[in-house]
Amino acid sequence: MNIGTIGHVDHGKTTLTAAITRVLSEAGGATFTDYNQIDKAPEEKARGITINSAHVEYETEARHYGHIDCPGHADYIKNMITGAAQMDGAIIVVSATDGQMPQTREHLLLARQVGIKKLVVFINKVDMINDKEMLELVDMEIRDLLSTYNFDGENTPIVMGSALAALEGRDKEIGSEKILELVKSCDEWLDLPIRDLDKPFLMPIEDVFSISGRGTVATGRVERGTAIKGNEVEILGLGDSFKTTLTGIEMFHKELERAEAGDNMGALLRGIKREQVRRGQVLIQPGSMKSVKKFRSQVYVLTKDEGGRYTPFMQGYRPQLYLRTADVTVTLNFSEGTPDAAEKMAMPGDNVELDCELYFDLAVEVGSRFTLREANRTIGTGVVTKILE
Amino acid sequence: MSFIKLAQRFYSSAPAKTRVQLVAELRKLSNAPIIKARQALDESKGDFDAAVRWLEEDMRKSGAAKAEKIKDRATSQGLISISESGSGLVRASIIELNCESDFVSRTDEFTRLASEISEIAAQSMHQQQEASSHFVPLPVENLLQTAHKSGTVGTLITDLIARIGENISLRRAMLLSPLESAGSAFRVGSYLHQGRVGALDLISLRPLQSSLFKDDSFMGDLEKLERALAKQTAGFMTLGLDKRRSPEDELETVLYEQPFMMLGGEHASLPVRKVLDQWQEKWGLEELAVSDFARWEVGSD
Repeated sequence: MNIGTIGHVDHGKTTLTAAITRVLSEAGGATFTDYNQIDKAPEEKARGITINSAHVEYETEARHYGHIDCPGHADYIKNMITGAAQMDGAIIVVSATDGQMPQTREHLLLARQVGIKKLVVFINKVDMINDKEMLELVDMEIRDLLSTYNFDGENTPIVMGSALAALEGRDKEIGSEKILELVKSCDEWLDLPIRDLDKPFLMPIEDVFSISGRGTVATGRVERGTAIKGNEVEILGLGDSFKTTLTGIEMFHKELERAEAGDNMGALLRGIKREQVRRGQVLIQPGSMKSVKKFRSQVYVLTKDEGGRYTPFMQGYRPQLYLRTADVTVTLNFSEGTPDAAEKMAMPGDNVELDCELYFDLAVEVGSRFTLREANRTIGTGVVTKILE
Repeated sequence: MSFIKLAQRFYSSAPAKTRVQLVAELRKLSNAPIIKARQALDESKGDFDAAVRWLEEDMRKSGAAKAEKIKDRATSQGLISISESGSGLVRASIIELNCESDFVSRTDEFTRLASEISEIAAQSMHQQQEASSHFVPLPVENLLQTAHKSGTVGTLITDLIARIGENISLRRAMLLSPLESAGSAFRVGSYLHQGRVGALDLISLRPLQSSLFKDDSFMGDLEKLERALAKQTAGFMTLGLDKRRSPEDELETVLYEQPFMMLGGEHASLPVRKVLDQWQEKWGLEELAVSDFARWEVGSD
């Protein structure tokens, strides 16, 4: 699973990340990554979008973690939208000497916005305050704030230690032992995301063939779950929804009994005419998805340097929306309730919340990612945050 | 009635608060770091009011020390703020206030500071006869020393540095104060996009004494146009008014050549200048023009 560190620049989130890799490297669960390598947060491109983000990986006995550390709010949002490093949980870092600061609420709002439900808090630099009462106050304040922003303030694990001590290998009772306690809290408190393989079957349809003597075959790459020969499947989207039986699975000219996430397969569909199935529809486990026409989304508008527009767009703008193999015209509006929506504009470089209304319905769910294109260039990329109709 | 409730009725002073409670209250009041709030209380021997005063004084000193210590850290994030003088004069300011992360630029504290500074900038005096342009850059050093409340603009900044712990710097400031011009009336259009991009447009109209300025429907129409012009300037990557700033620039960087998207309706695809011409004709004006504009984006020049 992926976690990220969020905190004030001086509160030691980079030191903490380095310390985690150091402490876990002793048990062989990580490669030590020093402060400077993380602090630089190299620029990278995801779906053509520039993001500043540092990645490290480590392992506990229970789990494998991908850990991201970004310098800014916008970088985390871009990560969420592009899916480059979707955060499933986060460690909020707060210094014991400062306590929470005005920007701590922005840190929590960000966590909410990127869809994180559970957090772990690390109170850093405890050796610099050395006062049990004050540490209790920091603890109390942060629990209050967590509850204010709809996190579980009462039960969220709060670990107090010194990342620097852990990094320098001294005072292990506030150093390495606390790092181990922190990762243990992550193991126990943060929920693992469901693996693609364990989700209901979904294959976006790329192409459809009619094979004489056999019938209609839809091809595509299994996005998630497992297809089993003989099972009932549903074809959904572009105005249609009907069920049939998966009478055959073909991969590399071989007949198989099953196909799973990541496989390219041909699906032989019983009693279906070629004209009934089209690219852009999906083949799913019956009932596992709905086809919708209207949803809310978080969209990043690409800058000119990223290949996007150099002019803004207004309410009612109609680009093409690409989702999986589908390509449908969409009307974009500022999310319902936006004051002066008719007056507003979205500029290249903006992160905006938009309501999307599709010309044809598609199989869409919260978390589905899409791109917006116009005249053969990508002008925006987004993620579905709420189904509206 | 319980004994405790009875006791509360007879003894008006609440039981003494614990040290932790007092520190917590100090923090709520001042946003001071834990370590400072504790020190304030200890130095004042538990006297809350004295601790508040101690903190105020210390925030200034330690803020200045902190500001000095981190003054070289890069400030690439921040906000543009615009302020129009409310005193009937045609006068406006635009400023850029920077900080280190966009977490801080999103806080209410930072937003308030930026608008406070732009308000002060809009009030600043300058020698009209020395100016050769409608837009006058305000030297940051002077603005920082401008008195405000109990301190200066500079101390407003260091106070926030003390509370927020990020380097904050005033990057640039400019005043729009139209030069005297025989026969033209000036108006200002302004637009701010998410604090990231800001535009000020100076609009000139002739004749100066037109009775139209007393016509409500004209004024309503004019205000809409002013706002649309500033929004147009901000929304497009506007660099020049009626010609390219440099030959490599695209035509869309020229305000007058841009399709007037922001006015909307049937005008959306017509060039800005053409719409202004139509407008001028519609209301029988001798002249309607954008005299000058400023378009600022956080982190660019």
